[in-house]
Amino acid sequence: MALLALGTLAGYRSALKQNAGKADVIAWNIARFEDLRAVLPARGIVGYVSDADDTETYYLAQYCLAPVVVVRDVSRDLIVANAKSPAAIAKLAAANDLAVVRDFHDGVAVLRRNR
Amino acid sequence: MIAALTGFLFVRALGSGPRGWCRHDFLRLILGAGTGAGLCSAGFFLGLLSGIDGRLLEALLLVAAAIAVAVRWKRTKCPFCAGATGTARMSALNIALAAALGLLLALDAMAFLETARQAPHGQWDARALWNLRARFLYRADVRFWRDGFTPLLNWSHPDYPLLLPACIARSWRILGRESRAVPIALGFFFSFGTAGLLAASVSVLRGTRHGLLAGLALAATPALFVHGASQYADVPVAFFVLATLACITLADRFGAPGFAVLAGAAAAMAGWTKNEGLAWFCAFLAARVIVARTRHLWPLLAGAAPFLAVILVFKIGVAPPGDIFGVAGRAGMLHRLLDASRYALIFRQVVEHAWRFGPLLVSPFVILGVFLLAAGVRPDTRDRFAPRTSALALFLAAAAYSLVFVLHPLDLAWVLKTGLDRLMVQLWPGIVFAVFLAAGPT
Repeated sequence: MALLALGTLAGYRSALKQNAGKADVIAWNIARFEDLRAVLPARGIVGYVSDADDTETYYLAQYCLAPVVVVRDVSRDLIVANAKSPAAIAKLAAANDLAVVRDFHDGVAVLRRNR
Repeated sequence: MIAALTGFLFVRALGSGPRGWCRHDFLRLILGAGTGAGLCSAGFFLGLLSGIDGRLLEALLLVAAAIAVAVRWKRTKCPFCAGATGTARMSALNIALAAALGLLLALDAMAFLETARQAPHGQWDARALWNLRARFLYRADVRFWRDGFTPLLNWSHPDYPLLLPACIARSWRILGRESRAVPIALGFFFSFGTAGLLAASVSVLRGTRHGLLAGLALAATPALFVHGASQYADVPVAFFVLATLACITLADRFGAPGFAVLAGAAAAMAGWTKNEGLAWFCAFLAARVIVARTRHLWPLLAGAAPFLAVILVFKIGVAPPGDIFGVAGRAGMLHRLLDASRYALIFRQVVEHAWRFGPLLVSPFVILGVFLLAAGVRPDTRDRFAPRTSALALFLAAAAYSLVFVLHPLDLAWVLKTGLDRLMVQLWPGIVFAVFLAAGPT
């Protein structure tokens, strides 16, 4: 019985250790995107652009911004930008011919197509 | 609470019980809470579709359940108390087993709470699928809830059924705000409810000692509780798979067609939880007909029918095509079906995952096998159909899962790596139940 309890404990230890590092990054990303939600329309489709090939962060953006649908497409009227650093937002906008509508200075911003 | 009460009253009406409280009401309460989650999520979904407030539908369900209990009030009695297996008195060994089970469940609870603290929004699937869809259902205006089912979000599997998202969204609607506690509480119920349901149902069918041992086998499976805390839908599927087998066995043993209704409902609720649950429903129905022909078949189908109708409405009217059997998934399907290397890879990975599944250095499948060898295959003579039905249904479900892996259009190694453990979690409580149903007295 003690072996069973020890084995169970060991199983949990490895599972919890696996998740521990990722949890902070996810919590930080969720906090950033939740702020963004207030400046987006109540529904509709917005684009998404990032300087990182990071699918999980895109999924987190969709999770936070629902019921707005977020698609990886820079041809939409409004685009959510997610950059590795706050300084990279301007570069990301320029590279895609977009204008910054609101920069949250934490690596996320709302962009718009240049007319 | 409303969902649990509604479900409990339905289980009381269908599965009978004494006028007061008896120890077997623990089993009915767990079954009822799961059934209530299914009923209320279906009510919420139908409310969205029809424009009627889902809370009104829930109130109607609650009243209907209360009336059903009242109608049966005079004739009501607990069949399990009358035909109890073994004595209710606890031997020293049983007390030791109960203490060990309590210790392991306490460990499970601590690990569950720590996992939930680390990831209050759940892990990958919870955020990308279940809680995301719940947010669409809750946040979007009642006119726009279908926005969450656009093919633009195909990566989030909008074709997956809605038991969990609808259950979460309806709870938020009742609370009047989004609360991370709701999906965590659901995960907690389905994880620990599965362990409780297993221990309680095996106790009724094979005696307290078998029940405690079965509970221990499940309590010593960290994967079940970690996945539950991760808010994955595989744990509710596991609950309904187990509920299906437990209810049909109780129906056969006690000649209680009401439990066959509950078995049908549980099998269909597995399908209302996840697409794999539909495979479970078909596997169980096929196994049941092969083994027991038409015994309790009509009550079983009657229990399943309302949930199957809801699934059909969802699949036809709301869900976009899925990634496996949709147009894109069908391309190259025949080639994949005939590719022998895929079968070999699946076999190797199943063996590897089965070996690593569980807490010990030895696979829990091996431990269960050794237990079965030691105890012998000696099912209760009153259970003519249940052991064979359970074994065949689980085998057919595993075969169906394997076939889906063969046909899956995405990279097979990746799909196996990310999905196999979760599929094992779905069937594991059912496997433990089937083993303890077949095992001789300890």
